[in-house]
Amino acid sequence: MSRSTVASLVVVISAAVLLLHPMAQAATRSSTIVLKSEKITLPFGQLQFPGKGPGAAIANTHCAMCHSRGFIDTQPPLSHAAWKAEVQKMMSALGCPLKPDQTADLINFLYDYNHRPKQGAPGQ
Amino acid sequence: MTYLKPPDAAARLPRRGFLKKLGAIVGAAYATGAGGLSALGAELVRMPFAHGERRLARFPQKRPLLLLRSWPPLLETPMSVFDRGVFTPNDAFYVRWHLGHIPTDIDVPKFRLRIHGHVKKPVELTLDEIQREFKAVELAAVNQCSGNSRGFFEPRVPGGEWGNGAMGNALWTGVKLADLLNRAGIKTGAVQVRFNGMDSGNVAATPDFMKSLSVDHAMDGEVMAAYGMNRAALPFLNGFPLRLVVPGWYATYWVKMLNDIEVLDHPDDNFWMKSAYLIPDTPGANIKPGESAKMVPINRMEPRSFITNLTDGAAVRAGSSTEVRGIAFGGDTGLAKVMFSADAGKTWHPAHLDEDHGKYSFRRWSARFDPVNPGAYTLMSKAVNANGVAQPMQPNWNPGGFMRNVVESVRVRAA
Repeated sequence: MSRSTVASLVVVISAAVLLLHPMAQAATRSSTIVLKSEKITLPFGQLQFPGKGPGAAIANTHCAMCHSRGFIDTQPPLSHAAWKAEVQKMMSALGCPLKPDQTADLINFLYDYNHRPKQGAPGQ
Repeated sequence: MTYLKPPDAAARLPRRGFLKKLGAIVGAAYATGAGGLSALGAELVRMPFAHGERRLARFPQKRPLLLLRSWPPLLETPMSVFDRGVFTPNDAFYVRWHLGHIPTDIDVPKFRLRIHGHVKKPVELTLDEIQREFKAVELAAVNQCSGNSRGFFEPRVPGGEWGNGAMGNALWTGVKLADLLNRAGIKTGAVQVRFNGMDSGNVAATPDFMKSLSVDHAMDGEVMAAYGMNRAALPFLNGFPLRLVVPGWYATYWVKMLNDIEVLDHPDDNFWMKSAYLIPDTPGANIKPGESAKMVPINRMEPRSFITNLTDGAAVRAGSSTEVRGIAFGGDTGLAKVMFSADAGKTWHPAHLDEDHGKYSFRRWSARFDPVNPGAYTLMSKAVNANGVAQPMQPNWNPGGFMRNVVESVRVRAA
C-alpha cells in the first residue's frame, strides 16, 4: 500500500469512528431538542390540620398560605425551641403575616402535633 | 400585602376574606385539593429515620416518586433508579421547589430571557434565538440538592427530610452562560451575576428565590443555561424551559425556569444568598451541635458513592461470588477511584470503574464480594476524587443539614 493510500484509509476510518462515536451523534441530535408550549396541573396536597384548637386554626390559615401539610408531617421530632425558631423564620424572613400574639398558640400546636403519639401516614 | 391563594384552597379556609382572590390566575391550573393525588394508592415507603414514612406520588411528567411535600413539590428519586443506569431518567429525576407560586403554563414563543444590570446593552432573548444564535454545548453533570440525605443527620435538623435520592445525573444541552453574558457585555466593576426564575412567593412579602455566582465563575465557560436534559426538553418540574447548570456545585444555584440574569456591581445580599444555604466555613462543613462558626454560602460538592444493587438486609450466597455495583461522583472534579470494603472498612480494594462520561457525571462502578463464610457483612464504598479528597468515615453535622457525604454502609447476610 502506498503512503497516500494508507493516509486516505486513516482519514476514512477516522471519519467513520467519529460518526459512530456517541458524542459525534450528540452534536447532531442536540440541535433537535424541540421546545413546545406546555401546561400542567399541580396538586396542593393537604392544607388542613386535624384539631379544633386556636393553634390548628392558625396553622390552617397561615402555614397553608405557602405550603402543604406534608412539609410539617415529614419533619423529625423537634424541640419546642426548634419549632419556635421555625415560626420566627417564617415571620421574619419568609413573609408569614402572623401576629405576635398568635405565635405561642401556633408553636404549641406544632410541637404537640409533631410529637403526637400516633403519627399514621404522612399528610401530603 | 397580596396573598395569591388559589380559589379551591381558599374556599376551604375558614378565613377566606383574609386572602385576596387572585386565584383565577394562579390556581386555575392546579388540581382541586388533594384530588390531584388520588391516583396515589396506599403504598408507603419507610425511610430509616423517625417520621420517614413516604407515599409514592405521581406528578406531571413523572413516574411515582417519594413524596415529601405536595406544594410546593418535594419529590425524591427512589435509590433503585440509580442501579438502572448512569443517567437518571427525566421522569425519575427528583424535584425541589421553594416557593408557592410555580407557573403551570409556559408559552414558548412568548418566553424571554432577560440579561440586564451592569451590562453595556441589556438584551432579551427568545428560546428560538437561544437555540439558533448560540453554539450548543452538552455536558453530563450531577445535580444534587444541598440538603440531600438531611434525614440521616443526627441530631436531626428541620428542612426537606430527604433520604439519599435528592440527586440525579443528566446530559444537559444548552448554551454557555459566558456566551449569553457576552451578548450583553459585562461592564467593568461587575462583581456577581444573579439568576432569577419564574417562580415566586405565594405571599408578596416572601423574598423571591434568586442565586448569584461570581463574575469569574459565571464566565468560566462551564456554567450553562440548559434547555435539554437527557436529549429532551426539561420536565416542567425540573425547570422547563431553561435552567442554569452549575457543574460541580450544589443544585441551589441551578435556578429553574430561568428568565432573568442580572449583572451586579455589588455583592448580592438577598435572603437566599445572605441568610439561607449557609454552611460553616470548616472542612466538610462539619461542626458540633451548639458550636458556632463563620458561615459562608454553600458552594462546591464533595465526592460520594453508593451501592445500588444491594440494600440493607439483602441475602447473598456464602462460598460464591456476588457482584456489588453502584454509582459514584467526584463532586467539583473528576473521580479518581472508588474503593470497596466487605469488612466494614478494615480493608479496602479498588473497584472497577465503568465508562467515564466526564468529570461532573455519575460513574458506575463494580466490585466482587466473595464471602467465604456465612454470616453478617458490612459493605462500604468510598469515592476519592481527582483532588485526593475522599469520603469521610464519620458523618458531618451542621444546623442546615447540608453536604452529607459520609461513607455509606449496606449490611448483608451470607448464607
